[in-house]
Amino acid sequence: MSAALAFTLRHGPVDVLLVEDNDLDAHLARDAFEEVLPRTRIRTARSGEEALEWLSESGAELPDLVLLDLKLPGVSGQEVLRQLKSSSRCRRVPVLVFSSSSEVSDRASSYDAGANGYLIKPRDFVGYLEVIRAVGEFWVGWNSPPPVE
Amino acid sequence: MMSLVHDMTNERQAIEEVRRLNRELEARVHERTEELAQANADMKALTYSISHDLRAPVRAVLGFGQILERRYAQDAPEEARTYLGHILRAGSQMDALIDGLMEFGRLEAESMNPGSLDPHPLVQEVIEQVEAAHPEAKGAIRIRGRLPMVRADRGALRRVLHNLVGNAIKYAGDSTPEVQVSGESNSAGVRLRVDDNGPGIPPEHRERIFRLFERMHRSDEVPGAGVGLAVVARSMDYMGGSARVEDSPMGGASFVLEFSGNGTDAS
Repeated sequence: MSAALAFTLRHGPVDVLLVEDNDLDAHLARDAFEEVLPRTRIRTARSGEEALEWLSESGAELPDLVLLDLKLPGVSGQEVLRQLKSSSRCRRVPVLVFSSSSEVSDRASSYDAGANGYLIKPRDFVGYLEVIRAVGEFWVGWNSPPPVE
Repeated sequence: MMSLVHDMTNERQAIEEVRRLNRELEARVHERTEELAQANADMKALTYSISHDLRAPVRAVLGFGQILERRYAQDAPEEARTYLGHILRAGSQMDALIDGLMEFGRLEAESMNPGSLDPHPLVQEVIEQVEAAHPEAKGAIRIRGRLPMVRADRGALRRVLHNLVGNAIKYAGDSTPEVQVSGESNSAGVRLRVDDNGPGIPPEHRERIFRLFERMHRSDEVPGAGVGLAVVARSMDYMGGSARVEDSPMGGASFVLEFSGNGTDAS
């Protein structure tokens, strides 16, 4: 079952894990979610290790979506992606790479490692609003109609 | 007899000396080529790193500046709104500089694949793109006659023409822009020209405008990063050609692209 459909059936708040070491970038993303998708619950992991630790906690509820920066200190975004996609528990969680890199090689290696999408970090806040709106519409099903009885 | 033996010994020594010098020369060329390849790789890595590391603070300046503008500018004093406008404009200019740096840094001689190419459809494509970006220039750009075949890399030539035709419209000044793309071919080689009726380029600026980040206008007069013509010059150089500017009979500038070979060479 897709995260979008799951959300539509559940009608609860959406949980997003934002893996981002840059506090200002994280702040912009959170502000954009707040403006566009105010029902989103965002948890921020400031390193790859922190993200993996949280996701591997057996009791923890998995997020509906992971937004993952590539350039992280320590464990890289690519490594986080590989570990998530090889884990039986986490592999179904959609992971969108959210990087400032527009290099074809970064995009290709992310998809190779199992990314569900690749988003380039916008250059300003208006761009963040557009990207987060698109993420909400496509990946979270925020605007999906309710299921037909 | 003794003299003959002596001559042959000298000749053998001379041949051996030439061989030794050749070996030395080859080793030196090999060493320099490796150094150059390493310098290119370092430069590329540096450009990549600078561009990405610079992007984050600029994103914060523009991002939080826009949040202030959206949420608080309406109630802020006039002076505060003016300062916020300065911050956002400077941030956008920095952003454009980073774009330029990345575009320039991505140019690579190795990735270019020059071959025999008909530039006519490529120029038509570029005209459509420039007209889409500048609707006021619709009908202002035309191709004179049939353009000759050139020896070029398709992507690089598209970028070169896009920069030149785009600049001709962007820097037209107060006059209604007129731009003409033409070409000629003779025994000396093949040449494409982009002519305009704009303000032209004074002789003292004709070399420096092809250097990175060199501009003739202030950024608040005409937005830009001073990268386009550096990309033109570098791309032409990588394709074995060259770019220059001279006076145009149309009254403005004439950008001349010289291509190696006659454009129909199989090699």
